[in-house]
Amino acid sequence: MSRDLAGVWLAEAAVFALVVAAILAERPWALGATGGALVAAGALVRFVPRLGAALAGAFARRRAAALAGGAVLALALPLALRSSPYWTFVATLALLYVTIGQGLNFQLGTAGVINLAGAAFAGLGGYAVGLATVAGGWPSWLAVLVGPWVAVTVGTFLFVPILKTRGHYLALVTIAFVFIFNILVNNLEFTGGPQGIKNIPTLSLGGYAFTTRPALAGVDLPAHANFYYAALAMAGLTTWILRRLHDSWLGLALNTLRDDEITARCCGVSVTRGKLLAFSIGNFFIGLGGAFYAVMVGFVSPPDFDFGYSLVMLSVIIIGGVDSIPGVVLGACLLVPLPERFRFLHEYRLLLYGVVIVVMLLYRPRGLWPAQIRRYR
Amino acid sequence: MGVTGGVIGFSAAAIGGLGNVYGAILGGLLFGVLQTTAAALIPRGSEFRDVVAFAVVMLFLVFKPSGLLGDKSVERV
Repeated sequence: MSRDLAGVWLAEAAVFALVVAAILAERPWALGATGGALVAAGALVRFVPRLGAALAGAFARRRAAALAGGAVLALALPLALRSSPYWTFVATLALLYVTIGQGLNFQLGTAGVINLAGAAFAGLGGYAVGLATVAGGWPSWLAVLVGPWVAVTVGTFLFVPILKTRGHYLALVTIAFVFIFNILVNNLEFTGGPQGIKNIPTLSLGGYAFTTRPALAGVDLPAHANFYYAALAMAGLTTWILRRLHDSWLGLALNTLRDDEITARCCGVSVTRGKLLAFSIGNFFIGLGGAFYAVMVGFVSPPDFDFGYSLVMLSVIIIGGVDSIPGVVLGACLLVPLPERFRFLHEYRLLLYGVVIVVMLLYRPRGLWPAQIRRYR
Repeated sequence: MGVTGGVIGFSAAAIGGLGNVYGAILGGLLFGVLQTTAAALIPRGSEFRDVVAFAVVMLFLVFKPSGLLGDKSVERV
């Protein structure tokens, strides 16, 4: 039905326009108005049952069109934000957190392997890129492709303690790993100590350096738009791959493993193999996010990968919805830009951050976009 | 101190065995001795003492996954 189509695209365009307006609003009243409009729109859909049901039905019937519309809007975002390189950068950061969040979600949500060392694995990817390019003279694109494998390789050393322990003890093992990583990079000579690694060369593909300002359809864009599109491709590919894995027999086996290990073992699921696969695949994408971060910012240092960032990665998943692929995307797109938007509150925005998470856990413990029950047709 | 202090406390409780009061005493003592020994014996040890201590904790949990005095986890099927 074309009414569905119109409804889906109209809703998407309206949300997009309001979000862009809220991001670019400079004066408090403009921010209040756009933020208020977003909340009002959300409340309208939530509390007018007919409207909500109609929209939900339209989105369910027109999933392909909804996805296509979302993709077009994601491609158009740098055009809408072209007056602000800073917000293009923040949007790119959100996409990196989508990649990292999907990787972490595969470990934590799908397989139930608690990993509080996300920052360390991202750091391994980032530092691998820094060392390979600055000390080894590798081209950046090659380093970005190899960096994640360093995270995977180091992750396998951590694997024996992970397999042996459960619950709190498992959490402690991964937390201890972040601290070991952080103290080591802070004190070793070849990682540059507290000063980190400077002057990581930027990405360039086929002679096209990512620091040149692209012009798209005659519109001049900030240089960060290059990274935005690369990160968009990366996040999209990651989400697609992990969605396929999650829906496959492997995802189902890992879900069984998470819910009850003994039952899984009785059904012929290998605990060792399942956890190793989930942990390594997850680490690959976390490392990829860190590697991309290194070439985007051109600089890595220990505070970029400390324990606090592990918690941010974890909150992305908890806010979005554990084991929910679209939830992770939503969580990253909310959790990364929102604190930036509230920078005018100075340090109080961190207070707001904590309050949001506590309120979420009280009222929507399964996340904003909870995982759906699997449906196989 | 900050977060590191909290994690050290958690580690101490874990090597002693979570849920056991005397385990926490034993774990805290062990962790402290470990840190100080590492600082004294290893070159540039004061920088790497926490690395050594955390690594030992991780290794320790491989062999005794529920700590020294923690409950033996028996799963009933």
